[in-house]
Amino acid sequence: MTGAEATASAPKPAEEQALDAAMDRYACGDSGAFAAVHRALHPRLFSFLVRMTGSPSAADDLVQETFLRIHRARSTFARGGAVIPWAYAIARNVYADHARASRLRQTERLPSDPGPDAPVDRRAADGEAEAIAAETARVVEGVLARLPAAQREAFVLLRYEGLSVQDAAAILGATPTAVKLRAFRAYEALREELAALEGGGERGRR
Amino acid sequence: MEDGETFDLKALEAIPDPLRRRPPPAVTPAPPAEPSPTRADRQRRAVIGLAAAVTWVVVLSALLGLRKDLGSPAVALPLVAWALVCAAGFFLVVGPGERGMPRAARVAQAVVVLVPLAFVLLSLPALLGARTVPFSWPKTGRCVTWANVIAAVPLLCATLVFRRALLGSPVWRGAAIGALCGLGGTIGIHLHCGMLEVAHVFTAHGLPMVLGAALGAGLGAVGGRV
Repeated sequence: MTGAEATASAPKPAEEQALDAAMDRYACGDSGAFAAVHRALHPRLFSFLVRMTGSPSAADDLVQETFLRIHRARSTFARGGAVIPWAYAIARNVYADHARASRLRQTERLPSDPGPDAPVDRRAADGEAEAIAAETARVVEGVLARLPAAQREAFVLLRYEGLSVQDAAAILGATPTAVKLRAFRAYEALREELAALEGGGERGRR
Repeated sequence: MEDGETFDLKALEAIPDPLRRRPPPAVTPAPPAEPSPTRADRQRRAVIGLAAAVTWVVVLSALLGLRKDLGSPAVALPLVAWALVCAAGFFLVVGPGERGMPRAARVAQAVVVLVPLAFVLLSLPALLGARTVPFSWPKTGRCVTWANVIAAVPLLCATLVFRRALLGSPVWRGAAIGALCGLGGTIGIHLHCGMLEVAHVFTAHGLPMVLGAALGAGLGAVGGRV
């Protein structure tokens, strides 16, 4: 799902409105609203952090840190604001601090691993299709890992997290044009690798 | 797709998604046990900080002694204009933008540039028409000291109010907040000092904004970001 270039006047889906209202109540001190906020945001923030770190175990730690910062910063959530880009911006800050600390510690990045609870694609009945899908996933993850962080962030937010260009720009602190350009550069790199993979696969089958 | 600007985002759908979303956890944890301020707490803190800063500027300037020409339009109008610039600057830098998100970093960057520029442009009319007075290092040194003392409390209040509260671009936002607090120091010293020598006014009265911006940038980098 790609984020559409939504206009500022487009109405928010009901689910998003309910989530914003829950965060509003939480910002005002209603602890009971935390459950709704956590339930809605956890899968999204976790998948974003997995895509950025390449490691579900690291993402687990970072998503907990993200919710801790959301709790500490709840008073800064603007009345009537949108919680999704706000939460993603906090998650991005958590990731940036983690990446900086990792560079200082010079820890090795764990190999990407979908994790034990990743659902198996049951539509791929034959072994070849599954092998191709797995190889494609490895190539995509490998390219994403090698991209500059700015391009990776823009691509992940637009392509996989389904955010609009405006929201992605607000999260990344960049202009919408800059976000599109970064996503475009990432797309070109991915397309090139996937084309090479397809070309190699066809030669193998002949 | 010609380039990034004309790039059609629908093309991104051609890139497969190697990851499935993890389903929500079975048990939703309770909110963190540590206390955190609510929105009402923050608003109260901001009002107290603002009141403390304004009171400090006005009282200290009055204790130093208000300048005799304060009532003249050439002095009063720039002071009012700087106060309005201060208010507008804070609104732009820390107020919510679209969808409640902070405004772009370039807004904070513009404030960092425009605040000292507004000071220079609005003080020029009074300075250009004034009788030439020799530059005095002792008087300038005294004004530099008091201007920065006046700016110190607004900067301290801002540090306490905006600690861990800046979602994006904390360095630029911190610099802008620091420059605006420095403008408070400038207003304070300008309420007191009637010296109309160009170099004196630009250095002694203008320095708090520069120092404030530098300090604010550092504080923003160290402790400003959410």
